Amino acid sequence: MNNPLTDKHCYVSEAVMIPSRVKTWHFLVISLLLSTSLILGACAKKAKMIQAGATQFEAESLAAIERIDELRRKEIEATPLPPEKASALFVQGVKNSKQPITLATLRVLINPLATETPKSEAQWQAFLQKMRQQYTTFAATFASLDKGSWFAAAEVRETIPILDKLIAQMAAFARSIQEHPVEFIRERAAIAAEIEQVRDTRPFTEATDLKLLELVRRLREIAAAEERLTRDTVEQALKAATLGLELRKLLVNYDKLSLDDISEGLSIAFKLVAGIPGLDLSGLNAETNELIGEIKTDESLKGLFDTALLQINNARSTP
Amino acid sequence: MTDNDEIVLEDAKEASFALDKAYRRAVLNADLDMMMELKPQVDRAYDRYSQARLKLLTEGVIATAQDVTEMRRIRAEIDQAATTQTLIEGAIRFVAFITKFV
Repeated sequence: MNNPLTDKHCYVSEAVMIPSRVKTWHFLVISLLLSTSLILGACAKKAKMIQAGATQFEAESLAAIERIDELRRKEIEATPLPPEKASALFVQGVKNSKQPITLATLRVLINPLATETPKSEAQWQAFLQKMRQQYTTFAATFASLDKGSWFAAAEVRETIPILDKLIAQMAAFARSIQEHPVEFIRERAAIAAEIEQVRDTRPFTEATDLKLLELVRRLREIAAAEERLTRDTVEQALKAATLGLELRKLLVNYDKLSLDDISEGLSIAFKLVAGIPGLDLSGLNAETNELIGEIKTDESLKGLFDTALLQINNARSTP
Repeated sequence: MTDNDEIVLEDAKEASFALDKAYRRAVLNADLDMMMELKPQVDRAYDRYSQARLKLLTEGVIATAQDVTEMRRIRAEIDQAATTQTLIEGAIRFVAFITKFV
């Protein structure tokens, strides 16, 4: 039998309970959505920081590759003759010559100081292209990481062995240039030829001294420019390697680090890189040694040393 | 770097310098016939030197074409993760929209 009181009570109770359940359910859903959105947002921000680090690593590496390109060109390039000297050479050269004037003669007369190095040029272009592609492809790997940050932690870790190689390459370039600083051979040859000509012209006069003093001034200018370019190239390769190393630390712990940790890590990386310019060659040498030393001794970087750096050392010791 | 590479680089540099110096003297003396004789040798010497410099640098290159392919594969997977995440985010937004009316 129905009890109106009870029914009413039930009715009232249900009337009270249903909105309460709905509210609880609503609250839970909203909380879940909010926390999911927050997590996604934080993951996306972390990912964006990794993207920024990778992009900066690419930029520093590409700049190092450009420096290497400049260095190798400067070594075998000669400053063209001023137009008046080129014209005088043309007039006097033709008058002095006894051989037929060929197409090759005309090419030389038009640009007597051009350097034709077709074999090495093709090899250099292939090398530079390969290097640019490697560093650009690495940064591009992370292009959509911010949009897929939730599911891509494993993929982030997979990039580390490749990054190791890219870091080791930059460290090796810095070391190679340090061991073989640039010399503008063509510029030096020009000065040597002039020195010999002055020396072989007798009698020595006051003009001889003035000419020699002018030549030594030019020689010092060339030496200073060589040192600048060597330093800039080593510095740039070192900046790239240092940044790569800091980026690696972030990638290794990508899923464990907080947004603040990654932000701080990246800030340290940028500060480290900003601190490199201004060092002289011996300072850069010390920095390179320190970098390689850090790779060797840091347990978390052991993989980098065991594979990448050792691979370079093996390649160097194998004839 | 092997000792041999070191020797090749230094020899190529010395040879380039010596030949170029002779060429420059020919230029200073406007000796066109000598210039024409020396020019191909100068170019060859610099070509060899530049190749030797490149060889030293390439000893430090250990990343390969396979690594580039691997990077592209990883990128494709991250792109796929992004697509999946976008779908999930869309679903979350949809649920959030629906809850407004419940």
